[in-house]
Amino acid sequence: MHEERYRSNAADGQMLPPAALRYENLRTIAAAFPIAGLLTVAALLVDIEWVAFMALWVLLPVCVLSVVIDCAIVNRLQLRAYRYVLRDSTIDIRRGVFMRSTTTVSTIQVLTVDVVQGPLLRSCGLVAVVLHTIGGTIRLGPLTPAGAEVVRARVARALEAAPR
Amino acid sequence: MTAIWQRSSARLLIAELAQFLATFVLLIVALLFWVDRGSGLAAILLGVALFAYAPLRVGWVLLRWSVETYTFDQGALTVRSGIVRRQERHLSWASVAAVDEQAGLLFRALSIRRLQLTQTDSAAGAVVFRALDIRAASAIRSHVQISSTADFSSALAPHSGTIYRASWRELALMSIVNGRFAVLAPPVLLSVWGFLSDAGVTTWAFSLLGGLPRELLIVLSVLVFILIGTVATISRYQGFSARFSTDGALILTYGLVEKRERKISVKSIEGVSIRRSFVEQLLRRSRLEVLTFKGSDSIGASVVLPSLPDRVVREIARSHFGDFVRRSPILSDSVAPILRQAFRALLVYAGPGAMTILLLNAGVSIGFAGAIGLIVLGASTIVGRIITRRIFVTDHGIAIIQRRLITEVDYHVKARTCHSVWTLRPKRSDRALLFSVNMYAGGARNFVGAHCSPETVRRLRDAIRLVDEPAAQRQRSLTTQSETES
Repeated sequence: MHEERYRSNAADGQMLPPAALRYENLRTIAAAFPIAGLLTVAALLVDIEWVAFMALWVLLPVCVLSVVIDCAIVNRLQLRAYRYVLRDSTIDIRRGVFMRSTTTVSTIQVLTVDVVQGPLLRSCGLVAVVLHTIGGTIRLGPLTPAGAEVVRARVARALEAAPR
Repeated sequence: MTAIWQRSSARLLIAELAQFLATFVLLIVALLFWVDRGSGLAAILLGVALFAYAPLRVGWVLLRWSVETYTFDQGALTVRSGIVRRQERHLSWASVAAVDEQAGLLFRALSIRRLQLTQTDSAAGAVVFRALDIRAASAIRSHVQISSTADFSSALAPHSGTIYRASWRELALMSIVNGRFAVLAPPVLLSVWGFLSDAGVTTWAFSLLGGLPRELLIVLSVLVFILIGTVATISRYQGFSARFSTDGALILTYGLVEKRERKISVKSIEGVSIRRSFVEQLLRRSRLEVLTFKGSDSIGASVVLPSLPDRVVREIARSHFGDFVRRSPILSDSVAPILRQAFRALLVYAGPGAMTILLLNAGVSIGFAGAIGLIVLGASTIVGRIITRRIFVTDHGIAIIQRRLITEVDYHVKARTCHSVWTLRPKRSDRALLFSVNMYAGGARNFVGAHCSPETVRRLRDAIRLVDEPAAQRQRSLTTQSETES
């Protein structure tokens, strides 16, 4: 379903590639590991009964449950709601399921485009694009390398078209 | 032109390894010294340093050098770096505002240079060539095209002529505004007095002042403080005048002992802000800050005019910066809203204060209670600022009112200074609950606020779409112009 929409290039903007879901799920699990580890260590080392009980039987199950919910539902919904539009003068990024966050960046004010690929992104064959403006940075993606190249080329074209 | 591929000079390896060895040898000598004295821990650390840290560090230097590559052609530059987290940075030569070349003693001995390409005066997106030989450094520099001097006509000057000249009465009022800290003089003086008494200081001046009644000392200290403040204000602002010259520059002249003149190119003015402290609100005075394209002016930072009557500040703002300053009066005119603001501030301070006292009464330690009080105070002021911040967008400008606890600032900036906009709204509503605007006027600024109408959001986005000149390029042209003038 998502793949079909991605390929058909939705009219209200470009979606993230289907592999982004795998990346988001991996990221959720990777982020949960240290928390789960800390809770387990606390349960084993702290010699107070209620602390050990809370860590092992309340917080740890909550952590595991939230990972399951994130991977099964939340990440999927968020990916479905994510859109970006490359216009001549701006890049618009929309995300969020219940609360819609919209970012508009002036293409001409983008100083540099960073294409970043950590181990998780690499394992999914994706990259993240970071747009630097004087005011701050805006992260876009994860995208396919080809998608990132399109963004980079659009920014370069806007700068070339600027009056000298 | 085909793309040129290169990496840092191999001589960088010599430099980095030499720098590493210099510190590493010191570490080894220190560890050997302690091993010689029979320290078991030092022996373990020596083993770790020799067989784990040193190979890892040398490997890191070699790997980092091998993966860091630069590719450039006539239009753009790409830097690839990172071992675990790979990064590709793309930038156009057109966005480079300045090239900084550095070479320490070791680099000079190896005939290599460190080159940093900066875009505007911010660190965002700066690219560093860690080591290039002199020919390569010169080749990179030649790619940074310095555009011709910006077309700068006198037509840019809003009105030539004097904007404001400070009178003696104005100087006296400025002294009152600047001297509001005189109330701090007695407690500071008494604390110093107590400290010196405890330290056993006995001089003739100490004995003379010690003989005076304490009330008289308090009055004297306030008077001396006010006198010093008045002299400082007069010496700084005597003869203060602001005028626009016919060649399109805002010229500020001031100073009694040392006459100073500041010249700001009109083209570099990105906005103005009108600031009022609580005392200034009561006295109906405010300060006008000219927000410049920082870095392009020889003076560097933004310029703040002295505390002037509200009427004068509004007149200056409207007549000289009218193309982007919002027309309707924004700052509170009557006393009632000012007192309301003071009451709100009292409430904000009273809440955390009461909580701290309650915690202390409950037996919580003073450090913990104080920390909780400060956190609550910080959080409530941040939330208060976000809630009270308002944004208005006109055809050519953006106005933001920012109310702090007892001060208010009214920003008016050109629409082109806005770089990005972020909004957060519920799924089924057009009204933004939160907004964030990134802009560059007198420095990078980020305004986060609540309540933003759909119309304002639309206008903000339109403003961004209308920008047709990159900030970096404009800064470069202004820098070139100021260099030509000097």
